[in-house]
Amino acid sequence: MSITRDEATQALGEIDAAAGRAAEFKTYTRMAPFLIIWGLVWMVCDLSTQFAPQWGLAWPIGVGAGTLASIVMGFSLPKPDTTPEQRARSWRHMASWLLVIVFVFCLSLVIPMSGLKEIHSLFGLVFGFIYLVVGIWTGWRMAALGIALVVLTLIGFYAVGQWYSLYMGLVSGGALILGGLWLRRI
Amino acid sequence: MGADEIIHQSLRLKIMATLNALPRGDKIEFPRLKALLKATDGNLGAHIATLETAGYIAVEKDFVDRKPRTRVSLTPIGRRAFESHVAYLRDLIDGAAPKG
Repeated sequence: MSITRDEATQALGEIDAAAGRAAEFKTYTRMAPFLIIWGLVWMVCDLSTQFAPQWGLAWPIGVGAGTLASIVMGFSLPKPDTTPEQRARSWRHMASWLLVIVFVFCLSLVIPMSGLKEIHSLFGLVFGFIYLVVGIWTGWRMAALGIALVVLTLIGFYAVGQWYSLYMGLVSGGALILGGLWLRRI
Repeated sequence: MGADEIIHQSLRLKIMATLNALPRGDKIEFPRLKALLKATDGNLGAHIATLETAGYIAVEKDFVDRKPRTRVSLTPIGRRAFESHVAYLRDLIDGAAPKG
């Protein structure tokens, strides 16, 4: 068969585009279950904070349960034939996310914050911007989710008042859950 | 080394590129592949059959919760054939390969 240089250039462009979409799909399907897990954690913990604030253990238990569920989910994901380098990379991913949680916790220790609202909003903003950065490299859906989380967190911080926890649980937690479901529907 | 006529058709090229981008051994379900490639059932099915006959892809059919599931993956032969075809295209652009 005869192929011209222009046809070869076009073919390579189609190959790059297809490979890019495949990589985007791969990222979305791997991130989706974790978004759903943490959306549920936010929802349950925030609703508990709103309606049973005297209990006080919702967030420590929720974060612990979410972390455990994320580790179990990570091990349960299908494992194709991966190289040692790829397996090391998945450990690095998990460690990176855990370090972000520790980082935000440490920030809350050194930056004066008057209460749960500030700490919670800080987590929302940090993760929102992380999703935005991830989305710049992997695909627009993650970026859109990041922007949504940032905007919803700022609205909650400034405009919701005494129903802050209910708002964050239903709206931001719900956004993470819906975002995870959306990422799976490519 | 020359052009691979089986791979070089537009949709088959995209099928091979998509499967090649997945980790080795990974399988993708037919509906997801169809959505990624924006293809129709019949068109995609026909080209998958061609690639399977050539030994470039493997098609696995089973049942999940009593629903039929079809998954597609790249074979080692298919991966080598795709890499060879891509190398040929690059050489063609660089002027190192004959056009036909």
